Amino acid sequence: MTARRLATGGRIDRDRALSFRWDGKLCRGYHGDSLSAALLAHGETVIARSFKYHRPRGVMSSGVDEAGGLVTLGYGARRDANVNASTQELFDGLVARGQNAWPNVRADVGAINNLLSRFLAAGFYYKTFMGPRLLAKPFGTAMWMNYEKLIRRAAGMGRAARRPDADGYDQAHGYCDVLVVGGGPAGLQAALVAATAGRDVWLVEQDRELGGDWLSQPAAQEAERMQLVAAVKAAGVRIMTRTTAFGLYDGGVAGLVQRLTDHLACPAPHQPRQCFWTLRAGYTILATGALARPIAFGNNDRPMVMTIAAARTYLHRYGVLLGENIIIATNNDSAYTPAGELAQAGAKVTLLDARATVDAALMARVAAHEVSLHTRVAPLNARGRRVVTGVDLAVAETHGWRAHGMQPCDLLLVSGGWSPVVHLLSQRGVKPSWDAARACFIAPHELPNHLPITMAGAATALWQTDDCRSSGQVAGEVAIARGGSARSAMPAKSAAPATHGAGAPKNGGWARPILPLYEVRVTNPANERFHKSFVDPQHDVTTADIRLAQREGFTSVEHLKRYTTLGMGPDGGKVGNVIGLALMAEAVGSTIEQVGTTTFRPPYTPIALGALGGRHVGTQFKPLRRTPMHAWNLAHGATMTMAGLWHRPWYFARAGEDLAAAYCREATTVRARVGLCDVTSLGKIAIQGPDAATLIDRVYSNSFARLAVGKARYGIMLRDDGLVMDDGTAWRLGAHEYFMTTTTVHAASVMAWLEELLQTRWPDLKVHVTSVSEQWGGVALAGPLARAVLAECVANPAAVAHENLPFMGVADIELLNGLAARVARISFSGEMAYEIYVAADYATAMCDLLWHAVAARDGCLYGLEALGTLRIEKGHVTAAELDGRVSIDDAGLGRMASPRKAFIGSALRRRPELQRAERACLVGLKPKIRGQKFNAGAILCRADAISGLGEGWVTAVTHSPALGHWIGLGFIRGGATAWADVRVVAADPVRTAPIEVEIVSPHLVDPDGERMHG
Amino acid sequence: MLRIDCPFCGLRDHAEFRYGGDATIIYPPLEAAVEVWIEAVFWRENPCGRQLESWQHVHGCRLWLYVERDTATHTIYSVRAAAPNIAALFSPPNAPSVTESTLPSPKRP
Repeated sequence: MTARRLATGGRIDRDRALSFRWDGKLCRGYHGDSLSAALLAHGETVIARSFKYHRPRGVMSSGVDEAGGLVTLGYGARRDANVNASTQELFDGLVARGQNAWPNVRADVGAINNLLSRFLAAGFYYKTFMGPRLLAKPFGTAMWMNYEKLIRRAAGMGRAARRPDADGYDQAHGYCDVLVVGGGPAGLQAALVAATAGRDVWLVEQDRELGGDWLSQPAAQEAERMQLVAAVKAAGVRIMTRTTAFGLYDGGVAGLVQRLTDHLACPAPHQPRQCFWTLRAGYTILATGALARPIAFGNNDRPMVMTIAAARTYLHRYGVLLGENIIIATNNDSAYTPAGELAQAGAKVTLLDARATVDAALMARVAAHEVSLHTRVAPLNARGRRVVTGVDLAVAETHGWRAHGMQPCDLLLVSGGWSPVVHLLSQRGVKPSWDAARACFIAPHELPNHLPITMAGAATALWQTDDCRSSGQVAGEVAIARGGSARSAMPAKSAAPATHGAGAPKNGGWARPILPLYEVRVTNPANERFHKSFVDPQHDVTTADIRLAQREGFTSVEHLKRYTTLGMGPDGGKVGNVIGLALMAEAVGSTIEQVGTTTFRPPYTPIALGALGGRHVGTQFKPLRRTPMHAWNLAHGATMTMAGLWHRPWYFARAGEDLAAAYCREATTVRARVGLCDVTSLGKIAIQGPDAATLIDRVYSNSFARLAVGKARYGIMLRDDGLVMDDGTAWRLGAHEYFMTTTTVHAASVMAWLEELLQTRWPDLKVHVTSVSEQWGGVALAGPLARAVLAECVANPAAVAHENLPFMGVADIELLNGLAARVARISFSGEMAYEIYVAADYATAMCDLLWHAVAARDGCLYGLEALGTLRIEKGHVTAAELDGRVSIDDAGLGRMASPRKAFIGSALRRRPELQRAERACLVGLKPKIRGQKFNAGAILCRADAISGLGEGWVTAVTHSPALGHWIGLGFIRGGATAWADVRVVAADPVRTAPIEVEIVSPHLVDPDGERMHG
Repeated sequence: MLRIDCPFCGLRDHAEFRYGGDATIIYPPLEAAVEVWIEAVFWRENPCGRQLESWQHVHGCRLWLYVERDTATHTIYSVRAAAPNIAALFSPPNAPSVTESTLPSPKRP
């Protein structure tokens, strides 16, 4: 346990000590610490257990590429799993726990998986548990079914909170001329240049501080950082720290997530935890930096094996020296400066360089700090169990490596090179190309002309701070020259595509080139069995897994990824992908360039689902539409239900009634006397103009040409392909004016359809369509006493007499209270019925008036459930039947397709498929044993062949008070006549036993319609 | 996300729009034969590159638009109102100065 906090140094505030709990233990840290820094300063080496093998894991990094230090933060509803300890800021009272371990990360029973590891190689689940279902248990898929729960429990990472998220999230929109992603030297310089030229610039930085790599450099660099940050602020750049640009999208749109309270001990109740920004930028500069890359070797996942970059950050940013006896292994120049700095801080440092030759100046620099340097040496295996205690070394031979002794240490630092962060550009469809000289994927030097994006800094494989800053200058100038504004569609185009990286220094600024090195292993394969060597520690993918995938034929990168789960952990392959690709290239005898890389996808780092949802949760999940009678309905005892976005009365229970009792009473009352129902949600469209009649006649399948003024007609609309779109009514109010009603479900789509026809196909028609759905409040008044009720409520009772308002008649009528009402004698229930509309604001006054008269006749209010009962009894179709797959003939409405005119869908209605005699047709259903009940959604099968898709399906059921038993509607092949003598069951294996049903005409009650015409 | 420059409302996110379809289809007369309609309704090109398509600004002015879009890059080259008489009001197409000077601006919150 040799990591310790140094007495001085670091960017922490030593006057602000913080206390926090780790696995219940009280610990201390400082303001400015990351959780990982505080844990390391406490000597906590094992802070997690690995995904599959439950191996002890510690901190491996100091940033978003952390592959080991994932912990569970908080408790109760705020428990958050898989939190990156390296990016989590420490706050007073923080509570963190190790995860994926029992009883804890230091003594984990699940570690037995490590002993079983040879059975848990890539594809274990597929091979063991997937197979033909027919095999008897416990084999194949059946075995998976049994053991899934156990396996799921053993594998995985943290566990999510079981309660709803206690935090709120917000969403916001922004616009800017130039978006700069990354607040390091390159990003700061680019932002300064663009803002100085008058551009509206946003600078987005995932860290809490600006500076990027400067934050990990010695205090001597602080002056330059401070000066540049001050200049950027003075130039008016909008700076957003703790904000991650997780995705780039079309049209210059960036997705940002801003963490507002994750670093606070006590967020105020009104504060959202995170804000999700949709930012539209005229131009985007990606100064996203580079991530340190490790090297694979035996047991390279042991705690206190980490990247050199991380150790440097802990030293300079947090004042924590991670070891006393440090071995550093590298294949490039970037290790030399940190090696000297660690030695200077008081550690004994041994530097292993895999290369044969090293730049003389670098050698002199480390020698000055008494670092012992060994060339052509690399780590072969890390010793120790819960913390590294020594390293087996390997020495380079002409081909490969040879074991070469052991050296003790308490910290092993590795650098296998750097991987520029090209994620965001790759998301935009630009394939990164492999730069063999610098051993990394970089963006192509010329970006596609349609992308208003350029790159700068270490993200373009520049390894020196000064070079990064210069490239930021260039990028800022490019953005000024090429960038448009977020508020204009087309950016100012220059002929030449954006280029970057021109004139880049050789080797990215290093004195000598990197030696590509991804894995160290001796040529004798016997060694592999004993030393697991990790490519992707987060998902426990080893070098052996990659080679296994190759042997089994999964050589494409896309297959490799899915078979081994390489790069599918929370870090998204930031650590392991390049090594995995290199090993695959080696295994198939190819190059990394040819193997290629998988597509990077958003988000760059994990984001809370809550941020994606924003405020659209709970009752705000979707818009809620209420009718103008909403409060009136509630006051009169309505229980509401959702119908699409609408809140509609479901039933009006009286004392002691449940849903079933209420709707049966309501339906019975409507058939016997009279009922009143809110039908405001129906779509309503005003159609006006000299060609209104032409439009109506073209869109409905039945004839409307001779519909007289003052009459309404039921109509069916087909789509171009001949299937039913919607049904509704059209009321002719005048020679050039109609009032169309649609179903609730299709109100919006019918409106858009009419607009499409008028604007794209028939712009010559002089017709205007206006949605008036919300302008009118409406009720249905139905039942044998409906006319008497209406007569009592209108100023002139004669206006509603049969002669003046016959079946399907329309009239504008003054109600007794002076309201102007539009009335049509239309029935959906099969009873004598009226639809009555008034201006929406007066709807409750209409309800009061009508309800008084209805109640006086012992009538009732009825809701959606009774409405459904009445329409099923009559065999009237709704959206449950007209589901977009049904032809007009299937629905039994073929007689409504006029043979004498052409209309939308009239041609394709006659295509052979829709004319097949065996198509499923609408039928009525009755249980053979009348006391039985069957379910909507059941499959209709021959009684002797209950399997597969059956012969049809049930769309709607209800208990029919008129008939005294359950009835239903459904579709069955060939229609009712084809099944007269065949036993059919409604099969619903999940819920009930099969119920034998009779297939009958859908007109179950009053088939001749005498009641409604009466 | 795509951003579409509606001639009436200006540059808006595609979430305000609804995709229609291939705008090069000329729908036959309603009286045309089944075969002609099958051709128009079911057969579609699937070009990689420029495509003329219809969109409706359904959460805006409700205009149906013809949008010339590159299916590979999502670059939008032009946007115009589908109805010729409406498009004529905005000529030359997409000129912001015309939109702003000769037509009442949509009210902003």
